[in-house]
Amino acid sequence: MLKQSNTNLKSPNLTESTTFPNTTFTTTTTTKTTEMSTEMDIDPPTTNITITTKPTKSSKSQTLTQTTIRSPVFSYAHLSLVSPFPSSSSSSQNTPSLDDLTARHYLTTALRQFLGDTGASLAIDMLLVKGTECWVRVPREDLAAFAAAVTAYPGHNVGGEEQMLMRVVGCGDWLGALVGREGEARVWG
Amino acid sequence: MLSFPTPSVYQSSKCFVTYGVMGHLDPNQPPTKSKPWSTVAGQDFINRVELIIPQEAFEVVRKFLNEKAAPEFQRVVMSLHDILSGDFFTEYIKKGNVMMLSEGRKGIDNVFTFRNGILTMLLDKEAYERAGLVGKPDGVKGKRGLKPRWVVEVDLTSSSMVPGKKGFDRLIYASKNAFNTPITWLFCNLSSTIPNPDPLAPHSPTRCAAEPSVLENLDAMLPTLKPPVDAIGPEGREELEYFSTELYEWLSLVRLQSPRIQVGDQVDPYLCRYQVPGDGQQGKICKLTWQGFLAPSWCREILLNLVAELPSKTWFSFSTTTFSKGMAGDNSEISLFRPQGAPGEYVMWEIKSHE
Repeated sequence: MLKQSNTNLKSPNLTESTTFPNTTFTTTTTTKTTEMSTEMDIDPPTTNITITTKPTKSSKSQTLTQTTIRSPVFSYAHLSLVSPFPSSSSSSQNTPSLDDLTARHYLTTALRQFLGDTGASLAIDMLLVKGTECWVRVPREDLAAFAAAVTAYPGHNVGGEEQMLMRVVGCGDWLGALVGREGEARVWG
Repeated sequence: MLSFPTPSVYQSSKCFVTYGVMGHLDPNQPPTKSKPWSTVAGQDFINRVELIIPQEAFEVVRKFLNEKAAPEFQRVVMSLHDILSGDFFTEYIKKGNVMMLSEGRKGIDNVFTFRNGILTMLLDKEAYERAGLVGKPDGVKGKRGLKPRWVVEVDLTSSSMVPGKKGFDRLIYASKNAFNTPITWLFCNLSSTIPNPDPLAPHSPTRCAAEPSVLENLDAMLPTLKPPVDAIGPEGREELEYFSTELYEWLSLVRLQSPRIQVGDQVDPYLCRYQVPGDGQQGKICKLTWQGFLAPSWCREILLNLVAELPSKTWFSFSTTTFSKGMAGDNSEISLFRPQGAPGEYVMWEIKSHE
């Protein structure tokens, strides 16, 4: 008789405890205490045990759901504008800074040269352009082609004789990990 | 059409998303074994920690950060033999608790790490053969190719690791003959006591403190800051995947300080088609960044403080990124997000590649 009532109580409690752990905790203790007072002499030790175990269960951390993302829609790349001849002293100071349009233009030129019109039509989203650094988003399946095109690009002339090209600093599927990688060299001094 | 392999070398990382409930936090008995806490404490060497909070919560965070000293670490040039001999070995490795990482790219160079008294050496074939130590193959066997690598692990805290014992003398021999060049190390003392005299001092370390850099009053377009209700249901997996990818992208753009999430950004769709998901809510946010050689235990402590001190309905995002490893410079990352107005709930992103 007592066991049956216990099991009936338990099953709804478990489903509820995932959504409102605190409220179920209070209701169970109240029902348990009334039970205990009425049927104290029948089976006191078992009821005592259920009361002590219940609160710890509801206050524990638990996982509601989990999933693994293997292929997100977008990939990200961190690029920087560099001169292929760093030895010439003037070029390091005069490295022109980028803006959204110029960066986009450089990348389109690089992609067009490598893959023709297919490359030029690749969807690039400029996320941040700051100084000579540039962060872009490309569709995930195009990242390999994008990185190859930027790497293979021989550079182009800026202001007559200065030659500039883009360097892939890092790329990957997860922007946060890419952002977190920045400045690692500073830690090493 | 294009003959490029779709998961390229840069795309080996996967993201494990967990949506869960944190449970009540007892400040006297901080949890260690349950999910978000054990994952945060289980990372190796952390390079960067970032915290994003709404502006109104900044005072609370500043208050508890002022009570703590900024995490310290040292940069020092010494050889492996210097570490395994003399006072440094007895005081720091045997008695103390230190964390050390040597320079070099994992998977390419020879890299040494010390953690919980365990020395791990990631070696190429030549160094492994010259060292004459027993190790096991590094990485997936099928992918080892022409450049096989080995990993040697030695537990220096064990009682047999003392001068005079065979295994230890072998290690000393290897450190004298195969790895005798001085290299740069990052050093972090995890215990609160510093031995006197400090055995690190003769090597003239550079002391660094990772002070947080703060970016306040960022006017941003906010996305939906609460997981969809049906994320827990039977068809919730897709829903959660969609929500967490979008939110992660937004949080990353905040960390990047991209103009795309700022209020009044009018970029031409030719240049960028990113749009903040959600219903166009605006808000002021604040970002704190620590960079350095940080211990996972410190990160866990900050996270405990955040959960305990911030008002329970306030959202926050806390991310930790490790030092990069592997050929493509992959690094693993853990981001934890507490949704708005849902005390106790969390969404956690674990990004890592199979090693």
